[in-house]
Amino acid sequence: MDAMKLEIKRLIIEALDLEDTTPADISDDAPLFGDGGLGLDSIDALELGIALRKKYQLQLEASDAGNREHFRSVSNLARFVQSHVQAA
Amino acid sequence: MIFPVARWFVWDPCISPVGSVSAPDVSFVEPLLRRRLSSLARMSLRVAYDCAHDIPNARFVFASQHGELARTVTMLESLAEKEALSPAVFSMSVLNASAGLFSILQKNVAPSTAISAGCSSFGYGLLEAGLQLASNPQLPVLFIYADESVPAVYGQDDQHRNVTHAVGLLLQTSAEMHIHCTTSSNNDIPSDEAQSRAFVRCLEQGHADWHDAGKTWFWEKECR
Repeated sequence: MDAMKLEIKRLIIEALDLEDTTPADISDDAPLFGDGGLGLDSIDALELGIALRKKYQLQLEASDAGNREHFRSVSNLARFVQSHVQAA
Repeated sequence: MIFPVARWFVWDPCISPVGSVSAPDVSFVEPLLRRRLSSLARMSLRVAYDCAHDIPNARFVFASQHGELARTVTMLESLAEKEALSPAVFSMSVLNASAGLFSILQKNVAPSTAISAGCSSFGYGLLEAGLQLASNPQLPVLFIYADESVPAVYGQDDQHRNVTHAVGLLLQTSAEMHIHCTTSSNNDIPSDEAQSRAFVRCLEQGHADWHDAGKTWFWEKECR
């Protein structure tokens, strides 16, 4: 699971052009969006969705109420991606 | 037309002996916004900040011949490879991308305009800025011009015109420097330099002329 979290952090940094940010700067449970965390915005959410689809063939539905929870933190995203990869 | 120029700044790329091109310092932009800046936006914001960082209510006109064409090429390549378009690239691909970023950065809600008018984009953009000042002389107008060479895929070699640079002018009625601009029709051979570079020559040396599309532009500097 820790390997998956690191992978997700690297994906976030690369896909969102987070200059000067390293995986160590992103805590597992800090909010990715809005204040008090990484401070990402709605364009980042779309960009991240595309990166996840490309790398893990993850299909995200815009209407899925679970997205907000899945995208809340690195831990949640890692768990979500892990379950998808195992199911596939 | 007379343009009262209170401040002017130019950003030019320096090319190192190994061929790498220098980037403008945009450390005044917060990191989350800075990561979205293209090379064109970086040089535009650099000169805009130099000219008007202390004037939060300036109206502003941004002009460019090719704008964010490099971003359009990135998107066309994605489409050709049947890949999803990047939302970040898409959102910043419009001609007024830099103008929008400047307004966010400065929390400046004054009206803004983006102009593209072929190889005379500098001249017509400046005309727009001058007319805005004439319509309301109380408020200063910031004029920004920036351009880059056309991406290689277009097969259009404009290297000789040396277009990559940015120019910022702050127009203010109290300015001591006035630039007189006149145009005339003729059939002179088109100039070999970018129009914006001819204008900078006027700022530095006192006068300059520039020809294209059957028209001559002439600028002359006067200091009062």
